[in-house]
Amino acid sequence: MFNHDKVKSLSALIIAIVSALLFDDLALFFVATVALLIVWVFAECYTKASAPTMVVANILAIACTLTLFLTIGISELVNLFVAMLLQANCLKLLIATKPKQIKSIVLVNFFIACCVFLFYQSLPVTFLVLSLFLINITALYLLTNRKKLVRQSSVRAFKLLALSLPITCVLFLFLPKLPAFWRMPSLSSAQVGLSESVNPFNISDLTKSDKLAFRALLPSNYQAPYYWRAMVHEEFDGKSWNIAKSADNILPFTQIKEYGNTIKIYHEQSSLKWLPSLFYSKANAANIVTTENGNLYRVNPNNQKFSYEFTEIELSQQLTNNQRVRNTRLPTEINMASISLANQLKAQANSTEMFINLLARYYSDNGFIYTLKPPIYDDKNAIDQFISGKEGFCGHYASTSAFIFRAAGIPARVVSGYLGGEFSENNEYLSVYQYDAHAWTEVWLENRGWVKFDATAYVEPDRLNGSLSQLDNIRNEFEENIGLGLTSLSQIAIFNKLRIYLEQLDYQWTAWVLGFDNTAQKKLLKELMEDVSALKIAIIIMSLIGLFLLTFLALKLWQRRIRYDDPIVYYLLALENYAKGKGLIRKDGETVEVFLTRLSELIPHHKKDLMSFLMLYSRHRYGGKTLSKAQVKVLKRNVNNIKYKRQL
Amino acid sequence: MNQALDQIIQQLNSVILGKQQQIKLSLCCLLAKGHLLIEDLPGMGKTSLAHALSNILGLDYQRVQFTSDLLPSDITGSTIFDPNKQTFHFHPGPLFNQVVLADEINRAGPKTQSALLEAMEEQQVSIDGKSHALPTPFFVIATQNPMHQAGTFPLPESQLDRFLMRIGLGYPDKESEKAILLGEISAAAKKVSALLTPANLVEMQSLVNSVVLSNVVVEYILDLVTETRDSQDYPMALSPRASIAIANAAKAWAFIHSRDYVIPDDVQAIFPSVAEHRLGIASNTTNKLSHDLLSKVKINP
Repeated sequence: MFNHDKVKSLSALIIAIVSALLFDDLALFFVATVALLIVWVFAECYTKASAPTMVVANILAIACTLTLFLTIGISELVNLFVAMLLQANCLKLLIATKPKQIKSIVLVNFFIACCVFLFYQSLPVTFLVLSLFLINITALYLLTNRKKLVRQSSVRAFKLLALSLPITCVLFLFLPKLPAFWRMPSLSSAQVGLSESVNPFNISDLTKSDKLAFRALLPSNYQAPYYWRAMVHEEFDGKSWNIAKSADNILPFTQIKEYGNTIKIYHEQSSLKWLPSLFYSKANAANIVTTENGNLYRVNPNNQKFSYEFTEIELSQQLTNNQRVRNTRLPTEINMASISLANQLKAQANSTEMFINLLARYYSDNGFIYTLKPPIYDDKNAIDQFISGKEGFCGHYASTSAFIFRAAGIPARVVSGYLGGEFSENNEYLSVYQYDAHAWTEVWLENRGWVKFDATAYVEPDRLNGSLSQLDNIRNEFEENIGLGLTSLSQIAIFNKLRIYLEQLDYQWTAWVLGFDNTAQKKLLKELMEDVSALKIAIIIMSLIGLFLLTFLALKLWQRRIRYDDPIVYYLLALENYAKGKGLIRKDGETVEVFLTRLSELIPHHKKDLMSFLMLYSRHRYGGKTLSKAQVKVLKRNVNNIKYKRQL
Repeated sequence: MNQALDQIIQQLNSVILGKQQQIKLSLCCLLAKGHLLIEDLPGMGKTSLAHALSNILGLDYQRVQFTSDLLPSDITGSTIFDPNKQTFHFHPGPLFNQVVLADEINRAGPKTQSALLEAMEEQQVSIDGKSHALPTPFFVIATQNPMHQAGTFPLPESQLDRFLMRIGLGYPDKESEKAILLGEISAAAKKVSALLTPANLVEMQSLVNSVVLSNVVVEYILDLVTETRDSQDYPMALSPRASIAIANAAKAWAFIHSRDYVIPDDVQAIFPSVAEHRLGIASNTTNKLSHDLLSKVKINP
């Protein structure tokens, strides 16, 4: 019973860590119930608190189930299932008394630890899950061996885990990556700086997240600014710019542009189906399609990091009537001042190009300011308010510009995505963060197609280079928005270095481990052998694992490299090892007889075998009587009985 | 043969109550052809043990009380002139017995002690240029009082080495002492009768000699001895004579336990009695040094 408490508290610890880790994804109230249950488990283990009676336990279970459904709801299935698992294991832990029950809890905990990967896959989380495994294997050891101490068990668990790592690597590299048998319902938890509806006049839209959005491997000839297009917003309802329903129509035929650049993206988890690209492009991944607007659209997204490559394509530059109507449509009777401004500029301009220039000059000459903390323009005529207020961020400018273009009868739309990014130390890759989210305008020029118009560029030209975090003018506002973190501390050299280092590490992890998919594996196998066949892979896996086991065996043998001429001695050593596993160590100066007598007290059911062994061993080693073959057999059987025959 | 030994031990146990280990050790000492030093306070049953031992083995027994004025010739005997036959005639002293109890050996002067110890080693006595062989088996049980050392001549280390074993009897436990007081002993002591003849004993001694001492055990003994020579913890290291003594005693111990080979347990059982008085100068019967040594030296499988 002594060890049961330890095992139970270790199991509770695992559940506590996982619940705390998934705090963001599960409801606060639910986590609170789990915390309470865990406190109860600990109290049961270390104080005189008693386990709930059957009635109380059942009531508790019903109450917990109700909280579960009420707080998490059934819309987010993955969260619900994970929460169910956590809570069920916790409840079981509360009433478990038999070793068999506790064992099943420990085994379920392996599954619970893995559930963390459904939500996070970064390197620190991987280490955390490994340490959870360590705790769980320790618990398993403690459960199967009552005499064991926690320290002893954890050392053994660590060894076991360390031993499994090489095999894991082999399997990771060579085992065929099968497609998933079933697909997880997508999670909607990932924080994204983009939204399918751009409404800059509602301040809360501005992202405060300093999370990474994606990383890009850019060809060196590709220069800033980097406008990462993700979504095209064509429908304006007076407040927000929305994506047209037909926007995810698949482009039927695409021609890859010759000499076009290919760019590789390592994308973080995202619930958004629209993916960033630098131009009209086509991706190499099967579940990423190109839409009519030349954007990338992910079908069946899952909540994992992913990577893709995209290549520039030729897009036929024609505006259908439908599109023209959609891109010039405005709600009536609002923003009259802006419409008159548009008409005023139109009167001055004799071409669309000139109109664009006039609008740009209008922004730069009239004291417009780029700020992350603009006043709230919540009037019906928000755009008029902004034009007189003159303070805003990208969304304001994009929205206003598009409105003015449309008011002047020029087809225009708002495009959102990311702008810029931060290069890694060796310029190897570009990191784009959620706070780099940006919106700009695209204007239709009859002979040139859709042309980018970014009013922000005229107001705050520095924004075009680098990341938002590197923009000095608005640093204070930026830091206030982001809150305390490594990013906001990046002015201090050592924190910046640390941030960049962690960033680099995470990149390597993403690129080499998470990005190791079917394609990467095929490439590796191609490099290793000329033609890839299942048989060859199987042989490689088996031989590598075999090699590893042999090395391990050799190491073990080398460890006990004191050689004895007499093979009988090894039987005694085997017993000594066995006793060591039971926590009985042969002392210096302890004779075989004393030692075996002590051992027989520990395992009384093997006393007969032990005494027979002792008799034969003494006669052989001390009596100078070489054992006959039959006697050696008996000796061997004795040892095997002791070592492997379990008590029935 | 072993049945006889078992009987002897049983009988002795009924005479000397609660001292099974010491009885076995003294018997073992006898079988290993060694001499025994009993170090204990007066009245602990030293004489009773010696007496019972000689009786049961059918041996002659003589007790010599050592005093400071005891002369060598008092124990060896001397040549006396026979006026009738007009010749010198050797008159053997108490040494010419199969079991000699030298009581309070440290009270006698060095000269007398030397005479005894020489006889013990050589198994003969030389008087006036003539050697007189001592009887076989020849077994000396010496006693000394570890306390009250004033006016005594403590045995030098070299002479302590001559004794195969040194044992302490110690106080009996309560049960045994109660039995003694109730007079169960005196009645039983009278019942002790010879179970062996001297010839049997000699045969046994030769059998002990043929007990197998395997390489492994020899190495263990050597490990023990070497440790005393290498380590700084021991005032004196064990001599080769000590290792021989250990081997012989272990053989006898194995023989007593009806085994024809020595196991490390035998070595450990006799080791404190054989080695302690050779390791330290101070007189003690706690056997701390040898117990430390035993727990320190690893026994190879």
